Amino acid sequence: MLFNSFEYAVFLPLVFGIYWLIGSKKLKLQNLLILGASYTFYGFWDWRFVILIFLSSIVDYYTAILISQSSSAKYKKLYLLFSLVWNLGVLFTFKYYDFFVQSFLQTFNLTGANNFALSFEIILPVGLSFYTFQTISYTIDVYKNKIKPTNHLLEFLCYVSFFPQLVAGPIERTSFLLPQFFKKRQFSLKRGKEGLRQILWGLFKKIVVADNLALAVDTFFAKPSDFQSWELFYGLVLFYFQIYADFSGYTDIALGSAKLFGFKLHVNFNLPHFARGIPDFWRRWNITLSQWFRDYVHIPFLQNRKKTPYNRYVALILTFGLIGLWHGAEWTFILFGLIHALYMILYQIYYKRIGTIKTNKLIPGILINMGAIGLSFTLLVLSIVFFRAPNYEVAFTILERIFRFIPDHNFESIIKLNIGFLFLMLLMEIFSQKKEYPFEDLEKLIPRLVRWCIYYIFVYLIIRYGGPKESFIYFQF
Amino acid sequence: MEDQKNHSFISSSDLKKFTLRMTIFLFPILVIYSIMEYILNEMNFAEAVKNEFIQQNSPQIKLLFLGSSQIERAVNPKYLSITAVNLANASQTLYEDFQLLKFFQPKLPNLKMVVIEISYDKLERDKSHVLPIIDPKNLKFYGVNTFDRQIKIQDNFLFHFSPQYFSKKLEEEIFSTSSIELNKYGFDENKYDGAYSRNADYILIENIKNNENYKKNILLLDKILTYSYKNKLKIMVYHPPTHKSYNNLRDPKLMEKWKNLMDSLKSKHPDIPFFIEDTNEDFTRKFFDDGNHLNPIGAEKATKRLDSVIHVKYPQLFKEINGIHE
Repeated sequence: MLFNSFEYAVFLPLVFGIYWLIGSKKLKLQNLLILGASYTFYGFWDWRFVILIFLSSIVDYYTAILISQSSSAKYKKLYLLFSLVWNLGVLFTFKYYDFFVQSFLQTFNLTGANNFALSFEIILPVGLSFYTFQTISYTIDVYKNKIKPTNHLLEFLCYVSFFPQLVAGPIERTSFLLPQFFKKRQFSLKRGKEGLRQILWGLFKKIVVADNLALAVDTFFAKPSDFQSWELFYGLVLFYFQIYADFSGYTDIALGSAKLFGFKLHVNFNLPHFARGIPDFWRRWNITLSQWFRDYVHIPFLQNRKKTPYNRYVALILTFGLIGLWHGAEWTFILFGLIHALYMILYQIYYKRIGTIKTNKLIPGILINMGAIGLSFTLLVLSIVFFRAPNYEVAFTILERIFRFIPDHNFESIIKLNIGFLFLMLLMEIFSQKKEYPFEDLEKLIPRLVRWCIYYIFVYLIIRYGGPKESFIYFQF
Repeated sequence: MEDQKNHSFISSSDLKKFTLRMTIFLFPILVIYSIMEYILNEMNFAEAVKNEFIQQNSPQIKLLFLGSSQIERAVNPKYLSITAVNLANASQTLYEDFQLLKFFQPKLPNLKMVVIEISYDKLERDKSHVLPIIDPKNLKFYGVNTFDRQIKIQDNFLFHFSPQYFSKKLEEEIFSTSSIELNKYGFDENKYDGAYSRNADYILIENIKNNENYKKNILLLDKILTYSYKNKLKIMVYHPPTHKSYNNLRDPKLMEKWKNLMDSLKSKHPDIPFFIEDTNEDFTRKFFDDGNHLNPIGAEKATKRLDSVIHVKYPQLFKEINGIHE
């Protein structure tokens, strides 16, 4: 069930109504409803995958208990290994099996008819990478004694499958989300209003901004050879904002929906296009995913090794290579990750020099900041060609055309493509930087009548100018 | 305890306030949305006019046209000497064609012949190439499910399928700015809004290549032919004229594939007449709306040619269509 679908427009108020009718006094019943609703939500894609998510939850629930109960370090490790094999095995089977088999066959030139039996064309369960990462972090945290395992199966099942964040995050840690299922949740008018406002903002970003940009981006990528250097670069800029509006729009709807049920989720974006460097970008983009890789791959890798530059670079290559692979079983995604590893390594090498520029009083700070933002954004935009291109040949063709600096005299005609809404979104987000989203706490600023007029304008924009209905880009990951 | 009571009081009154405000907020939106849907239902879309024509003339209809926008814009049934209905529609694939045929054939007791389009890359296309307005319009105005899935409640509402398209239609209706002039057959006799009418050379050609779709469509074509034979319907394959500037942009490999298909169909079904007009150079630029769509003047010329071909080239067929037995 997509957030921008008719089904969700019926599902959300229905579950909301029943949930608060049950009331906070019957916490178990509320949680049971959340679980049922989450499985129904997930089952709309394919009911068979509900069994998979249930099994994954059960495996990690009991493994964590066994780890905690076991007094032998050897057994603890064995249980952890079992959980990791299960989770990564599921991920590998559904997401990466075909990719590795095909890559293997191509590498060794074994693409004969007899070898097709190795390939299965398995359907990827939506959101698999998101919930698997949640369950992995739970077991690891229990193993490391950071948290105690829960003995409440219902609440744990809810934690893994909580529908607002099930299919595209934010990836929540157990210590943050699970306790919320044990607390009594009171409905508050303020939270309810905030939830709806955030959903409205998310729908605007997704339906009006992202889906309209998709039209322009698809034109560029359908036949890149028809476009010249600046046009292609412009197409990549639009693609960046398409995925930003798409994914951050999804996150806003997720956060808003969770608020309606009395839950809090983590903010996942913080104006990443204004990052002053690639490391800063990863602190602002898909924040919960970056933090996950930092805590469960990057830091553990460096923990037992000397902090030499070599080890730091290897850790970066490993972390970003995996971040790339996490996004999809394609070489283009791996290349995307490795390019970011390279950016990070270069940043570390030149960090001291960058620091010198920063302290140089001859250049005004604002210029340095703008330069840093511009450079980061350019590097970022050039890297995302691997995110969108169907294969690396097309990606390199686009980059080659960009760097040949082919002049184009009709560039002005291209620039008119549906970008008005993009500016509206950017302006609103710039002027509300310290807020979770632009409509937050709106009642403190303007009277109700004006507020409602603003809401109606946005509802009008969504209904009137919604682009062709597209699925969320991050659902495929 | 008192605190808890206080909390539940706040919670319940907050919920009431929230529900009330939401209802007040949503009420005008729902009213406006309902009015929009009502207007769309009552509007003279080509499909609505065609359906009305079918209802009123079902015993007389002998000829049925199916296909994409190329046939939609090339055949004005007004210029045919046989009563016909043109159900071709923009981006329509063989799947939608077949569903329409299966639905309307039993309702047209004297239907004799079906004209289908197998143009250039049509068989390379599937549902993903169909415009989002086609299936809801087929459902709304003909009552035919061409969604290739079960009907959902929301399928009965038009607007959400393409807010941009239907908003434009509503604005045209409200401000009476529409340039559409539908005749009783549902053919727009004032459609001159293509690139050529603006003296632009913009040509949209996709050159779609998809072998899987092709294989599926070949099977579907076979089903259409089998269905037609079973129901004693004649089949004719028609390719309307396309402009040479469009033809020049066609992919040579796809062209070869298409020509091979035509040859194989001709040898396999010698009884099926093929009227392939894509390279007819009598159709100069003035007859086109854009590279691969005729304008109403071009449609008049093409339809009259088609009519004379049925008369002259296939006299036996013409007699059969008109029920004249020797």
